Amino acid sequence: MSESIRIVMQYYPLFLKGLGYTLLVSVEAIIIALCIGTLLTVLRMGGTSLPNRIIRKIVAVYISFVRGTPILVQIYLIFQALSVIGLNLSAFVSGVIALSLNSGGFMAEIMRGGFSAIPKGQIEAAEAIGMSKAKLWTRIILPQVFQIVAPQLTSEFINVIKVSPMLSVLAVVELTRTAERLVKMTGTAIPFYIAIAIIYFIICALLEELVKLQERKRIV
Amino acid sequence: MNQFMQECIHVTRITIPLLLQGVFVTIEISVLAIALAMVLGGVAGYFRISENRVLRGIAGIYIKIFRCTPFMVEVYLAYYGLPMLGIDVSAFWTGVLILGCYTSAYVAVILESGIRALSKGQSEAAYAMGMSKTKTLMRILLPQTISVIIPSLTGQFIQTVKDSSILSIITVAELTMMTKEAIGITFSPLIVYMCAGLFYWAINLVIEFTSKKIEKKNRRISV
Repeated sequence: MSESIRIVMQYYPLFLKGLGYTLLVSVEAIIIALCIGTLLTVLRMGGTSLPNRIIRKIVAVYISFVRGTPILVQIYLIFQALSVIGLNLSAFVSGVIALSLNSGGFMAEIMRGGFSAIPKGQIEAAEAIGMSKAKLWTRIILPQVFQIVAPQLTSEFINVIKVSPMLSVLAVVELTRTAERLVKMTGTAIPFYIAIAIIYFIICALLEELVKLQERKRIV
Repeated sequence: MNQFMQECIHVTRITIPLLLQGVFVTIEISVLAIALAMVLGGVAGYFRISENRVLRGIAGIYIKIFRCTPFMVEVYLAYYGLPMLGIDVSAFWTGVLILGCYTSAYVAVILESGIRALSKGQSEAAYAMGMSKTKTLMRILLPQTISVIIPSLTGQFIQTVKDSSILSIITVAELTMMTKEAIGITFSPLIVYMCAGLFYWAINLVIEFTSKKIEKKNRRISV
């Protein structure tokens, strides 16, 4: 037991570095995903003219694909697709792109839920006083949507942190990859995996408390 | 362009039989894992709504542990940890076991919140009529909950099918693993991954479609 702890503590700077990368990837992905999710929501809620309907269909197919295929396959797919079209990006960048494209799809679904909670009268009122479309979205709809879906957005952030280990297949040296490397180097597996499991657990459990806090705030 | 099309056709012709093998294994794993998850999740959910504090606490810790750690790390832990505990099973069964445990935590939460969402009057009325606790749960509470939680359970099952892809890291020969094998033969990763994505998508669309059918049927009965 104490031997295990000693061997883990011996490498703690590496774990810190890995943790830093995990958080960096997750935060970057979640910020880009927020933009993608918002964009998809705006595209989706357009009028009923023909181009709008086509756009809506495309967005629906995109979201369905993102939600219907494993993130692992998406990560590989995007890594390969980027190199085929001639963009030789680093594993880190294409990993962030894959994560944010994935999370963006989920985000769009979450935000649709928030959008439908806004009373129709508000949008009509804004149009009646002559607000432009851009102003309507940035001043009336989006602020309320974000307020409504704040707990779900935090849960989505937890999800992103939980899928970030999959970037280790692209050799992004985040927390899980660090552990894998150490396992190969030292030949002992369990202590390292337990150590990173505890680290992930602490982060996710704290964020879950934040979700609960946000939910309580919303009810009051 | 013509050459590209030819390559596409050639690659898919080699790839699809391989991937189909993987699809069957993926479905097999998912079905077994979901069955296990329903049992474990049912037990954990039952503990969560029981009055016994200790049981509630134990189930709470179980759920928290599985929900708050990444599945990939759990897979590694199971893969290296089970043999150390003396449980020497194949990668396939390790995968089923860990995927089942992971999903069960989510199933437990869905069940718990479904039953808690019912009005208190339901169980009180049942107790007042002299129904036993098990009977109340089986006859009154669960039937009402099931129809409500079908959408979230479906979402969870789709998630399970997707999570089974991670088992490829412990060499379970499911769809993602077979994809890698097909790439080893054809050397055109993009097309093969696209095929794999389409297969997963198809499986999940079927699940979604079935669940919508069941939901519709239920609604007709309850109305």
